[in-house]
Amino acid sequence: MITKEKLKNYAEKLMFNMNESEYETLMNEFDVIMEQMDLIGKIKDIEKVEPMTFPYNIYVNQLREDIAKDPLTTDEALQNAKEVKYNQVKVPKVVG
Amino acid sequence: MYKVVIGLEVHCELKTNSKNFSNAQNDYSETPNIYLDTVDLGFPGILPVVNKEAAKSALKVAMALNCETPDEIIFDRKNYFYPDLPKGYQITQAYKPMGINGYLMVNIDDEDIKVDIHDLHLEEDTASLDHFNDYSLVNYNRSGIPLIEIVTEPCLHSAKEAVAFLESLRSVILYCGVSDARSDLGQMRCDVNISLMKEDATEFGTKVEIKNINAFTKVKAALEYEIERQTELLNSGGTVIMETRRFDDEDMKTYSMRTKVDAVDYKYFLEPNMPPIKITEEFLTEIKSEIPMLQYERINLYIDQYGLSRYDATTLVKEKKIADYFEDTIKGGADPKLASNWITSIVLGHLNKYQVEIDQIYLTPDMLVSLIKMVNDGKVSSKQAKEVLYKVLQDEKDPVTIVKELGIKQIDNDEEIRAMVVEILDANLNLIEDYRNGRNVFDFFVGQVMKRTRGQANPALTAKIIKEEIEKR
Repeated sequence: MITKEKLKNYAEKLMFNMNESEYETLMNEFDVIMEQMDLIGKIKDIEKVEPMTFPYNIYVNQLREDIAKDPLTTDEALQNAKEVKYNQVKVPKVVG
Repeated sequence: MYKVVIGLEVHCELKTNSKNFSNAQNDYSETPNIYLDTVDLGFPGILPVVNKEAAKSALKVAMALNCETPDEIIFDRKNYFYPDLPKGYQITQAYKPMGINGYLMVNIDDEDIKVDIHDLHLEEDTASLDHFNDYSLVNYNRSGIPLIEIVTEPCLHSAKEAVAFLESLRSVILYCGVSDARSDLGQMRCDVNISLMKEDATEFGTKVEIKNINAFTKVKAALEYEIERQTELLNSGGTVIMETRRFDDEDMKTYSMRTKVDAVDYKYFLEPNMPPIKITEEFLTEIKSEIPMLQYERINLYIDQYGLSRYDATTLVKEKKIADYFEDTIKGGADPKLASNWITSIVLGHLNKYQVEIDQIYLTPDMLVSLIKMVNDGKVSSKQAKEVLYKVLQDEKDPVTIVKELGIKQIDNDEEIRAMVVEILDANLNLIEDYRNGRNVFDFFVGQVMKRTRGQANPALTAKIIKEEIEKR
């Protein structure tokens, strides 16, 4: 069961700041998802089916050759950052 | 008394050219944010592709640790929220790692212990953070550097065992040539799990995890502190709580960071951006063929086959390059014990004194072989050989030339030495009397001969003649 309490707990662990109406939306969305899960659970012998992780049963044989390039410049990489200091991304203090 | 139970999780950065899932350079730099790619910054649009060399290196160490290897490579996402992780998840291997069920033999005080390896998996390093008064700065150079994590079973029982294991593991990694494994640069670091249980208990006690310790000496100190802390706690009737602690290397104590009650659930799930990668038999065979004989096996070989002491064998295998050098001299026909003596005393002393590597010195294994042969053939005394060796290292000329330059020739002529001995004995009749009375004056006679010949008399022959001449009288 998904309860608002559980969501609040997750939100805190994931450091999401959510308002009440957002919780409402999320609760409604979860209702739909849980219903769908119940539906899947009702399929006969479902536990004997191996979970599918990829839509196609494909394998890759190719690994990337170990050649270094530096595709991004520092300026390009940092241009989306809200705040930059000494060529580093500035974030709120994360340790006590 | 309690039984100590320790399990280790060791992280080691791999020495590849590029990062694990992108083409950005894998290197260390003082300049922040220069080795960057969209993948490692968590920008959308480009998919991660596994670095072949990183996969090979991880499999190589897995095999060196006697692990079972997979027939396919699969990656998973470990989800957590922190600024050092731009994607919001770390690509790692949770369910089908590069190796499982391995072990490493470790020798402690002449006794072998088998350390069981739970698994070895390939993942990516995080960005690094610099903390200031009211903000933190993120540098992504390290983000995405290939990392192997080696997880042991909870099978270690003292700080000493843990450190011995770490040292052995480091040597495996160095011998495999996949990392420089320098803990001072954070290339090798470890998380420690430790619990205490009553001697007769059947279940493990509550474990405490100490995060991210880099130097092995700190691992030792952290474990010793933690064993003491938990012992006192249990003795005074308290209970150990399951928590994560950090080690402070200023006061050498551990401090609580968070209890497991508010532990993060990482919500592992399969990384959908990378389909499974087939590992062929040929690929594994090729990797296996690149694993050299490791430290533990070499030590046993040197002791059992070459008759070296454990001390000398251990000294020689500390670095693979030195062990290889030693083995090359033996292949060249040198006596293993003599080769070991020359290398451990003079060659290693030279490396240490001048801070050079063994592959940078002028003296090749072949030269050492030829010098040892000269000694064996009696052309050069071992004292002279020492001088020659120093000169070869200093002047960078081969031993034959040095021997010529020093004018070293050995006097092997029985008559010549005998005449000298007779003269010396005649002049020291009182000492012969002393000798017969058990006083140690034999070396004095040898010394006199050496003085007259400027050290060129064959020492073995000289000793033999002195004995014969004294007995004649």
